[in-house]
Amino acid sequence: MPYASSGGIKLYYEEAGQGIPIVFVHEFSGDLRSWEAQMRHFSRRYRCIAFNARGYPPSDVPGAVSNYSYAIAVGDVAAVMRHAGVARAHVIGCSMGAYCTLQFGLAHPRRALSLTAVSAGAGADPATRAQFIKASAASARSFLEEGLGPAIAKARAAPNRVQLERKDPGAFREFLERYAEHSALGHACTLRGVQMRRPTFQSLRAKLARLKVPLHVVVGDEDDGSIGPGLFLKRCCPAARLTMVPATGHAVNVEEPALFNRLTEDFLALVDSGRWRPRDPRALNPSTMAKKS
Amino acid sequence: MPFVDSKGVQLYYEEAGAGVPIVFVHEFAGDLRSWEPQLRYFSRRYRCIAFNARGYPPSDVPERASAYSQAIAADDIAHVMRALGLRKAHVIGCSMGGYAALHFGLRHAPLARSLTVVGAGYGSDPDKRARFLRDTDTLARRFETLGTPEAIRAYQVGPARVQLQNKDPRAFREFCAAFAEHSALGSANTLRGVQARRPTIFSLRRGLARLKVPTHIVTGDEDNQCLDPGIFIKRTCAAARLTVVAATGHAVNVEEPDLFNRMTDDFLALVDSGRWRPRDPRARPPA
Repeated sequence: MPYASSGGIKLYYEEAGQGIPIVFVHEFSGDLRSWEAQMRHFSRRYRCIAFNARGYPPSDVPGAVSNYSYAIAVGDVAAVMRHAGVARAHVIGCSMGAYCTLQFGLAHPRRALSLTAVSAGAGADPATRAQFIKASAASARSFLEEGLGPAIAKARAAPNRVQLERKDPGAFREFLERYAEHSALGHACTLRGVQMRRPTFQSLRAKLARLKVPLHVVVGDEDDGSIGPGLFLKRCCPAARLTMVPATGHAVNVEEPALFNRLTEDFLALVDSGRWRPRDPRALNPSTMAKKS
Repeated sequence: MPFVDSKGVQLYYEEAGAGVPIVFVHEFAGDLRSWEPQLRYFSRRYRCIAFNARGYPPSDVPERASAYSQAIAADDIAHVMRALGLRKAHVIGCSMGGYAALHFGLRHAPLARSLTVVGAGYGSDPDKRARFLRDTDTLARRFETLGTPEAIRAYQVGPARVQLQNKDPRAFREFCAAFAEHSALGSANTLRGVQARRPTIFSLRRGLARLKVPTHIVTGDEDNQCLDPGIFIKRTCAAARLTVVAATGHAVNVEEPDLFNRMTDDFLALVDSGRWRPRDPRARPPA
């Protein structure tokens, strides 16, 4: 099995296709298999690389929380790229992976051809931040004491997962089955090291406003925790475009693969053709009229 | 030319195709020609009807602003349907026509198979309400004193129109040329009677919470005045789904016709198949 090494930690990855590279970064409750519908589609024209984060077997599962952080997660993306001989890539992440994708863009703008951030933002809202930290801490304890069972039971009825169950019960079953194969220790460490300690979007405002890398933010209209952060990104970052997908929950790429692939393909083609442009400054006029020239 | 009568006011319409009916309701700066990419696409499977609002020739242009209002605009849709013998239709409106479609759904729910509401929300934000009314009044006076081609010069390159200008200069030229042909009196009266006096989206909370008609809200991510109203409708109305289209301004159907047609096609097919359902109660956002 192919592994990349990141500071001695082995990261499992898979590859498909040839061409301009895309790196896929998975969400907390998923793994590289969450990108199957994208790997199959985009490998026709791109070199697709998906990897499992540290803490997600067959990647290594370090036992100390100090081995996990958002900055380390960003370094892991860079390590996978280095191992694969990829200088620049489109980076596409979902949820935890979307947060990592954004931070990758801020840390390594020259290595990112574009960024696609699906459902980023859990814990970003200052109003519910304390609640998010508390829930994550409780959840981490539960992973260590009771294993994966309680988290999977919670995911089964989560307000931003029931959309998938209703639309595509087969994909939902697959999501739960794969979740059950994860490492409880890896999840506890990921929560404590990455999720609970990452800086909020608000604290990144000045950096995001200066970001020059083409950014596509994608959220479901029923993923309540991601809507505010999605709008925040669109409004503070001229390089950002925002898609909200109707009647859709958290993992948009899993729930609406055909639409997600189509929209992503359009975005990547725009970037690859050199025709992408940031938001027109004239679009920020608060009046419905143009400013008098 | 085909007209229907709405209580003495003649409304011009065009038709294409056969099947389940769709009625298209245009925006302030457009007319039925704005729906050309939709008429060409949906007429393959639907009976498409687009009409010009009162104030938009060849429809009549009543001289007094009192002949124009949000309720009258919604009822004009019902009159068009009645005159054409349609018992139920999908209603698709943009901006001013989006408001009209929404009010049509609230006033005439049994006549609506579904509602598609594009770019609705201007004038709803309480913080920007005063500016909206001031802009609307300024624009109405420009129509009255300068005539249409001069009056629209600044408006047509407004903050949610420049996206079309950048993306599709040909469509933008067409939009400006069609806009310039509008009646100055009809436009001024529409601004004063409909736009300046319509209720804000936020004031419709109770009606929206009870609305059972499948509703699709569509907004560009750079159409700033429509984003919060769109999210408000999504959160208030269990029958609503919300699409935000990337790097897009006001008239999404004109700016991104392929994507708009595709998503609308999916939505109408879901409704027509009987498989549409409102939001799962388990997915309600925290109060």
